[in-house]
Amino acid sequence: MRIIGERSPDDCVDTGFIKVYLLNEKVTEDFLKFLQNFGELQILDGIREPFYTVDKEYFFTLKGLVGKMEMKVVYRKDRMDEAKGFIETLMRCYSMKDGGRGLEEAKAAERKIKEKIL
Amino acid sequence: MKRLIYLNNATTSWPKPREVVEEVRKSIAAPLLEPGRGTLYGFNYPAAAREALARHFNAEEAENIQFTANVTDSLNVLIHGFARAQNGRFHAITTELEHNSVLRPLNTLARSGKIALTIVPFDERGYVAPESVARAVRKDTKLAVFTHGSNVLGTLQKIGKLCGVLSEKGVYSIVDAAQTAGNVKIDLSRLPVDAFAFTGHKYLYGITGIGGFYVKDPGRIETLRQGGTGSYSENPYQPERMPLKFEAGTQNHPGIASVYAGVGFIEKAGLQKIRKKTRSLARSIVSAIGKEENVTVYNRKPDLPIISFNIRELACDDVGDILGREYGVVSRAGLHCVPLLHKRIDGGRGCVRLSPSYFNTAWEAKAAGEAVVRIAESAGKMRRRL
Repeated sequence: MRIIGERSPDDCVDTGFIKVYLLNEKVTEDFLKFLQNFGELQILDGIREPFYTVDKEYFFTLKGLVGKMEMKVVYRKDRMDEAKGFIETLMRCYSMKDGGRGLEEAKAAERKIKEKIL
Repeated sequence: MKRLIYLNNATTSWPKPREVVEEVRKSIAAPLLEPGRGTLYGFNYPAAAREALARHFNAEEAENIQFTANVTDSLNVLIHGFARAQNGRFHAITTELEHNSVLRPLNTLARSGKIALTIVPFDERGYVAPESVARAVRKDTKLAVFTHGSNVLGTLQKIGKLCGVLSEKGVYSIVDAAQTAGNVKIDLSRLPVDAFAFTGHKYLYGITGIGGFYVKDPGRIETLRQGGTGSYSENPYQPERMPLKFEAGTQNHPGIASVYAGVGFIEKAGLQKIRKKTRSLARSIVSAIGKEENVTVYNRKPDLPIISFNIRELACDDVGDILGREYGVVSRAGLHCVPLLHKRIDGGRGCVRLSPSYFNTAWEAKAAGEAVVRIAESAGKMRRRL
């Protein structure tokens, strides 16, 4: 999975800086299962389309509708560049699908970024 | 495509009445008539809009109505203009209900040492008690700035009593009527208000970029801007005469035309009828969502058409996203530029606000209420692990 574009220009709201990314494939429950290793997952069913959030505290929140080829990211504070790089790493690692190597690489990236920002 | 249910009128009203759209079109299509800046004869929008607003607010002097970019601009002109007219440091009063359009200018003056600021709390129902304001007045109090209607709790403040208390003590009062102008009856001839700030793009049904204020005694406020007025050009300074004093430069004629037509629309439709309908829509939403266990409604009996709530377990901006993307309901989520109020009601977390207008229907209010209930029910069964 990867980001192929942006749907809207930057938007600054109370919770942070918002970007809506267009993706080359749909957000699936399988992808969310991968993401739950890196943040707090919530999936809301029972509404018209399932809505998810993955919150990486103090860093960013990913959110959107399951099955859509786009994802909203709410970036916190001034960590947009690192955060975007990390999100792209997560997508790339998820796409590896080779029995855990992707997860290991993403966890290593997470450790590295934690050392840098915390 | 989902049907759009626009319930964000406390931010900017939509749709605009047909008359407003037509008047803006006419104002752009015709050459601009500006007395003193051209020889054209025709319709003078600023003069006509001043008259319409003076009639609407029952203000004695139409010329004391000044046009600005919005209510924030009006409040800046009034607050900083009042402060500039004072000699030395003084004390000012405001309230916890205030928007940043009031708080930020006052905080800026406080930071620079020009004022000492007291913030009066609101009571558990969202009202500021005149007695609390009276208690906050000191010997050096010269200014009080407060909202007429809360943009989150929808409470209508008793400005007659509040300003009366201040007037008795010689304190200058500025009222922020962002949420009430065009929404409730305002009679400036009977209210002891010194200055009154409004915006055009909410319940006066105008376009964005137009606001204004009424000032009883223009001599109490210094001008912050100086420039061309198309008259008294030999005067090296900004003329003190109204309506020139605070209106340097070419005006926003399409904006003024929109407010002119907006007031005309309100008069034609009837303010009471508008108010009756919007309050009924608000009640219908409260009644639908207020019974839901997972929903916290912060104002069950709003005076203004504003309903604020949260759904347990969900961030307010997520609720706003779901309402918009899945149900076509346009709301506003977050702190609504009133940080002190949110600190009191939800610990600074923010909430979701729905604000119907005259153009919403009972069906839309019902659909929005049902959407909130559906989300709240789902929040109770949320999955946190896959």
